[in-house]
Amino acid sequence: MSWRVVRRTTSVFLALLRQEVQMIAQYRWWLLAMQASVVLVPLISLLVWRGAIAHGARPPVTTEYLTTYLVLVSVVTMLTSSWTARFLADSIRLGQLNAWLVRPCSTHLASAANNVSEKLAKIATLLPLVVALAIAFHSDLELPTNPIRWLLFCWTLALGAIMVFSFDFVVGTLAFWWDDVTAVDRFRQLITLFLSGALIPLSVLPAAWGPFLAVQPFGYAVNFPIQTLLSQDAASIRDGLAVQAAWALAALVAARLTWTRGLRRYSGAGA
Amino acid sequence: MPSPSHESSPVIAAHNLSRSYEFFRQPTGLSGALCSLVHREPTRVQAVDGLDLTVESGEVIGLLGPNGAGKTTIVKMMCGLLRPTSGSLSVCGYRPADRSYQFLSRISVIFGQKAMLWWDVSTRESLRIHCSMYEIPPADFAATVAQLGELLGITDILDTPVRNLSLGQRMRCELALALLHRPILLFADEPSIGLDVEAKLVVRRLFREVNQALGTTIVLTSHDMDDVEALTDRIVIVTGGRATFDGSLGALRARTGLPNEARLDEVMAKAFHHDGDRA
Repeated sequence: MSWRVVRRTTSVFLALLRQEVQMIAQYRWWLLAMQASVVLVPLISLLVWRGAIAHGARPPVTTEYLTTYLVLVSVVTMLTSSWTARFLADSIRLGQLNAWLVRPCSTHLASAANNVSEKLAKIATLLPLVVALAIAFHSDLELPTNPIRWLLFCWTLALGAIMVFSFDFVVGTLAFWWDDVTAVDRFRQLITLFLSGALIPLSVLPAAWGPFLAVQPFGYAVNFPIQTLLSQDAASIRDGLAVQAAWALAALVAARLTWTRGLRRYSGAGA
Repeated sequence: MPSPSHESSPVIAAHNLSRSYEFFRQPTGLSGALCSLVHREPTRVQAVDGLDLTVESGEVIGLLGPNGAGKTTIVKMMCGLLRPTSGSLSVCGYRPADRSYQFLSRISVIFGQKAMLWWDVSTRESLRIHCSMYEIPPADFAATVAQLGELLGITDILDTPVRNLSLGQRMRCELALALLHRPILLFADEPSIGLDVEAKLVVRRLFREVNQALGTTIVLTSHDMDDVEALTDRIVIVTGGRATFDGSLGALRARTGLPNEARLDEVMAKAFHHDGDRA
């Protein structure tokens, strides 16, 4: 890729980003309501777990681990989430992709700009809510002070976001072959919610599931980035970094493959 | 920014171009729907069948035909949206299906039924995005936006969100977006749909100016015969996926045997009917 292409792509991406931010600014209440709902699920989970522990339940992790995990989970889930599949599938089915395919620009740049801009806006509204949660449960909150840990956290967040976006993209491109991908998308969302650790930490699942949980991709979107801050097991973090990178690469290759194959089948419905 | 060329090689060269669609037939009735759960009947439709067409630089051609004749499929192949099933196609010297930057930055497409503008922001913002995409120098960008704004009468609405524009205003803004990078080849699919009489005249005048001043080749598909009469030098009638007539409007009138004062709608209807029977 030449320097000129990089410069042009960056320029278009920034222009699309600016356009997306302008659009988000017009939907302020939607953004606030959405962020409140993002915090609500881990908050309920946190209250249920603390209630259970207060009544004598003995989970395989400490109260401090559980509290820190569930305070962080809303930020991590939001930063690694993607919502492209439904929009991409609709644009393939209804022929709206035409408007992008006749432009000298990557079609995926718009989805990426939409993803990044919404996350920027969401983090701005989500952080105060998370800080409020952290203050409320500060006595049981244990966060590392080592900057290397925080760097690892950022790296795994970025790879997790790339992996989720790419898998989401693959689901959307299935619309090149199938008329309706809603069921696949819902199934993926359900599986992701459970196996990523967004609903409950993977550490509290039965120990026998361990080998499976270590290789399945969804945990590398939410559970693993949090583990880089909370886990004391350096070997498992090292292995996890390799597995996450492999999944991110596999997801990118799959997205590229389904896109190029799918385009050959595209009929550009309507005008 | 590419500038229109007047090279001797044709802008569009299609030889034996074909395209078919494959899909599953939808059975009628509840029993048919239940049967289709276990057995589906594949169907193949030949939308374009051995088309030969050459368009020279600077021409304005009307690609016309009855509904389902294959003209939209032809345009989609020419602008790189669809891959031909067989045959060869060269547009601006490139293979459209490759969708290279060089090719896509030389063409422009106006879909009367589909918006190219971003819905939730102003036209100026859409123009800025295209400025980055087509690598238009800032000085050229400012001058072209001012020129198009004045010509199309949209200077006052450039900062209005597109969703708040009327259909006619939106179509004028769509035109500005399509012409911003000065394409060599412009595909216009129903470009005057929804426009009032005055706006239609403006659009026609603009197309003529763009064609004459910049040598832009225009491929027009429209059911508005006034557009066709006002703009096109050459008419290609597509029936059954083939070009069944290629010539001037005068030649078409003579071919149908209708008097010179006959309305173009009547001429076309007779030509479609005649060519449909032959196809």
